[in-house]
Amino acid sequence: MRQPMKQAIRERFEDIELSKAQLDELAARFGDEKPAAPAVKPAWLRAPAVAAAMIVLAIGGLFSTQVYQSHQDQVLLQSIAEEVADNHLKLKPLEVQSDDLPRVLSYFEDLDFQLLASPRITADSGDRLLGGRYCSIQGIDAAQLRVAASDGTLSTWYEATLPADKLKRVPDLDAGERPAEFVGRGVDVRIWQENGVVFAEAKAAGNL
Amino acid sequence: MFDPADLNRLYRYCRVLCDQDSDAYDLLQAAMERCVKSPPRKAASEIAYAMQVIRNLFIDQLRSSARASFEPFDEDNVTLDFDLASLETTMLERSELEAVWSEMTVVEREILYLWAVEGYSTDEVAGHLDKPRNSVLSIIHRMRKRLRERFGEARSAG
Repeated sequence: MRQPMKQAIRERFEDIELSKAQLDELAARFGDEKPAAPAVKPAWLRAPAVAAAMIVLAIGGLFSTQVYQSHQDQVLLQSIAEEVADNHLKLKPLEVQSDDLPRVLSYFEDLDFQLLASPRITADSGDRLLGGRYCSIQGIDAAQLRVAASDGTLSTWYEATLPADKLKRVPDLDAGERPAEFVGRGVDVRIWQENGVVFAEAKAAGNL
Repeated sequence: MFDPADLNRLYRYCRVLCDQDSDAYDLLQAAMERCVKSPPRKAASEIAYAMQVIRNLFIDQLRSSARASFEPFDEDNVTLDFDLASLETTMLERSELEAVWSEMTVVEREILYLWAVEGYSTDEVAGHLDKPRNSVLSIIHRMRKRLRERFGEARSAG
């Protein structure tokens, strides 16, 4: 059965493991050994660093509630971005295969929110929808759509819902905000919301 | 220093470099010794550091035994229009992968492993291999060309 090359390579290496005897031997040889500690600088060399840290802490104390909220927003969005990148890299098998968006969207009847055909998904006519599968974002069932661009680049799209306290932290296109963008593990991720639905797009870095 | 999952992850990388199980295990042990003697400066980079140690030791072994050498890069005679993302739509059967895997150079196997299993981008692969990005792109280009010749345009180009 043909499968994506990436998946075939992953499966090839899933079976390769050390034997228990080898693991035991490594544990016996290196398990109790602590790495040599890096050389510690004398106190007088560390003083400037301590002073700098104290200044940073002092400045940190002046941060407003708004800045704190902004940080919390980033923490949530970063967490979502990492989940999305993870889903994108795993490239698990599609549960529904079709290039017909309404048909693919209709597959996700178990979700407790209405899937939307975002204009951002349908805008580029050169993209070809491959299908979709269920996934989860922040522990809540979500939809993953897979799209191939005309140059062969694969992207994955996500639609999800979040509790109100988290949803308000996601950039809202209807309010004129721009999608949040993250890059990590070789994947570019964009996150935004439209009409109360959270959207995310993931592609290999440099292709968004 | 490393838990069993990390050790298996490092062992798989050794298996990419070494054809024989025993060679891979020896390489892993040598790398562990080196990591214990000369640990990374930052704890967060232990795995990446260990993988770099493994690679350096492997290259040292190759040089000392003169068993093989990495293929020279022919950067000037290729069109650098492919990166790892271009392999995303390549479809093949597991048996076909085994066939092409055995014919690949060590560097080609490394690139595919780092991309598929470790999730590296083209730039990250180039950084790990300590090669210019264009060198990595030219290797990918040649791999794609061979895949096209072997399996046809439709399956390697998506």
